[in-house]
Amino acid sequence: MGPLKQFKTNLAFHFSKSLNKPLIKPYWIYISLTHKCNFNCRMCGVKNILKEYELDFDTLRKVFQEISGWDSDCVVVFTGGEPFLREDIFDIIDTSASLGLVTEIVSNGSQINNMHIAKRIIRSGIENIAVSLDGATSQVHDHIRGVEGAYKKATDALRYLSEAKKINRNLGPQISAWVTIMKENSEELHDIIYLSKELGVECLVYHPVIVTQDDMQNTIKCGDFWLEDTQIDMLKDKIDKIAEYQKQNGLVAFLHDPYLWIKYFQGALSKQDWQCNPFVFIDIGPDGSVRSCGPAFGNVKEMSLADCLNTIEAQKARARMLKCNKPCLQTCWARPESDYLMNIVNNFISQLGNLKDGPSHKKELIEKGIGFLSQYEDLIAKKLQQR
Amino acid sequence: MKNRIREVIISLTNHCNLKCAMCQIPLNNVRELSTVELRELITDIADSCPDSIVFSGGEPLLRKDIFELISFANQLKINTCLASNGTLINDEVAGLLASSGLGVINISIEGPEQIHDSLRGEGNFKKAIAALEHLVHHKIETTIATVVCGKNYKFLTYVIELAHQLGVTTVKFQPFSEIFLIDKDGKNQFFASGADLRDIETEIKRVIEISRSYNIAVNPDTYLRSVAPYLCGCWQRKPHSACPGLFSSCSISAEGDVHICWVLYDTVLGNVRNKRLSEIWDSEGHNRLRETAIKEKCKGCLMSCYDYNFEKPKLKELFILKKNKLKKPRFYKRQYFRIYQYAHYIFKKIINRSINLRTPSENDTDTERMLCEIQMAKEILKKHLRD
Repeated sequence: MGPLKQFKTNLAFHFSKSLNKPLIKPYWIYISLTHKCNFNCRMCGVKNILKEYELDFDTLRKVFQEISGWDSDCVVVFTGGEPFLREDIFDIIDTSASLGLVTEIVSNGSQINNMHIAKRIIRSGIENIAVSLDGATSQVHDHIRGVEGAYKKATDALRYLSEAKKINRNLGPQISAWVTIMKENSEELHDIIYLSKELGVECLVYHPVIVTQDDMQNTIKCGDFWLEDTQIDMLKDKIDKIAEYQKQNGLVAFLHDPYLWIKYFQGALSKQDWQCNPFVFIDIGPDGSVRSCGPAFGNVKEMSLADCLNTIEAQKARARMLKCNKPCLQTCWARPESDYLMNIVNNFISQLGNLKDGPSHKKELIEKGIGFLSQYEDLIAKKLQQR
Repeated sequence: MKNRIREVIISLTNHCNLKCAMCQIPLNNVRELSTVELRELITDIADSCPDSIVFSGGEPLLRKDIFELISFANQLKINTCLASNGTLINDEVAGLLASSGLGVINISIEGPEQIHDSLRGEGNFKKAIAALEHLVHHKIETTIATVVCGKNYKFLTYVIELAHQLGVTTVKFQPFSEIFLIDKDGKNQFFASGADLRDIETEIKRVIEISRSYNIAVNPDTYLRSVAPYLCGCWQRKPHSACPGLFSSCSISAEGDVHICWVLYDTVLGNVRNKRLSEIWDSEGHNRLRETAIKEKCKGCLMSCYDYNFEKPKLKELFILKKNKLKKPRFYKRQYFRIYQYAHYIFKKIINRSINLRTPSENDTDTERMLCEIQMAKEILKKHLRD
């Protein structure tokens, strides 16, 4: 993405947030394909809301078509439940990918149990496949996932995927593993790196546990999976090791500063450290309900996604999110680079400095940038006049 | 005018650690409402400004999240009431209840040790008394609840004496009702015969006298006087008096079914899993059911849920009652909650009516600050342009 486009996107997210008005389409679109799941993960709230329905293929196609018409960048992530429990999962992936959407999928790995499926996934045109890996040993992973043999299934899935990708001349989706940081696996955080290296994982993502989306604003620092105060030093030590490894070998992808985890588990994370931007993320449930955080504000079965974002309920939900002062550290809700206008401008300038183009081109870019700012200035000035 | 929900009785679980003679709540494996669902329900209830939420059961203290739910309701400024058998309350639990902000707790006592244990199981009287002592020690407003039946009507004054000794300021009597019995034939043993009518009447008279001399609040006089004819089977509901309970309260079973009232248990209005309680409450179906219930189904009961309706207390009684209530530790807090809730409710109504949509946005100074920031950003870019 060029610096100008990035500048424009950042500005749009920044002013969407300060005006509580969607000036840009969300970046993350999570689609929960089903609430069925064959695992019984301890930290997951989906099992409590088990509902029978699934979004039918035609509605999904309609949603994909709408998203593909948006001019801003976005990523479609299929989640669940376990998305591979749907019979038409490959039809869905293919449709999404063939419409040119950046598609990712999150799985527990249980259904990727042979080479045939692994190959099918690798060739389906998705950008990223993530398998949850919560422990470096079967005891810990199985304990967290609530099912015997979960560890074997997840590691096998990753092995199949990396092998299939090798056969496909290393073309195909990035194979990643997601680790939920919690009390139960805090001692193994560093060991997971070696395990995933061995399994052929290309990207390892850590993210701290939340209890459930609905509960988020109330359960910080009182959930079951929270690190105890005595474990904080150990966590710090693990972060040091992981950061050191990341510096030398890559593999680990930090979505945010890992040292924020310490504050997070201490319950001391504040708005200065982490802010939520309600415009970055939406989640579509298996019943078609659209939400960002908290209650649903629309339904894709009844209206278009863009209309959902403009409902009164959506405004209320976003206003509540802005007031939330229990940062959850989930990357999907945040966009730290567009929190402050000065940061956006400084980023822009530093990126221009890195460009190898001639000064006249740079001059043109800056002038265009000033043009964007003037547009927002007009918009706000008009609003001030109206009052 | 729409009816406002004043009291919601939520049965948290069907499980119970006792097997009382007059209660046979079946233990079929229902899927109880989860913590998340209950939180959503409580949030929904809070919108309609209730006087209180009653957590009942089974034995509600068997649920692990009970303290969390109480403090959640407390945060939303709703009075909470807990109906328990007292066997699970030790010093620690009483402390937790106090710190979670519980409004009132009802502990069942059926009479002297022998009678209580014969109805509720061996050893449970001592446990209940210990619970009462702990609760009084932790300054929780405690009520003794007694089910008056053919077996214990001679010991009602004993209960008042007991309350006086323990420092409990309220005793609520409620005559036996067969609603929790499956085997309806067994109900006769709990009623009294016509020959006992006079005995019960004299006992009730003494209860009224003694309670007044000890300053212990009990049910209104007329209600208590109706108990004797009710137990002997010669009580008749006044034909014109529509039950106020139908218009101000509802009960929700452990799996989320909303019932019009406990007595008309087979009338289900809907399930809170599928529909919000506020919608169910305002629905046309509910109004229709209320009308049929009043005209045809309701045979009249003496449930204490609407005992306040039996009599407007005389000035003297009112004075005694008030004086008693003023002494109770959480009295002022509860009054504050009520006023707060009501004000909140009215305020919301006015806002909703007058301004249909108003973005919860920044005020003018914020807008000006934003303009200033944009100016600064533009200056920086222009400066860069010149360099």
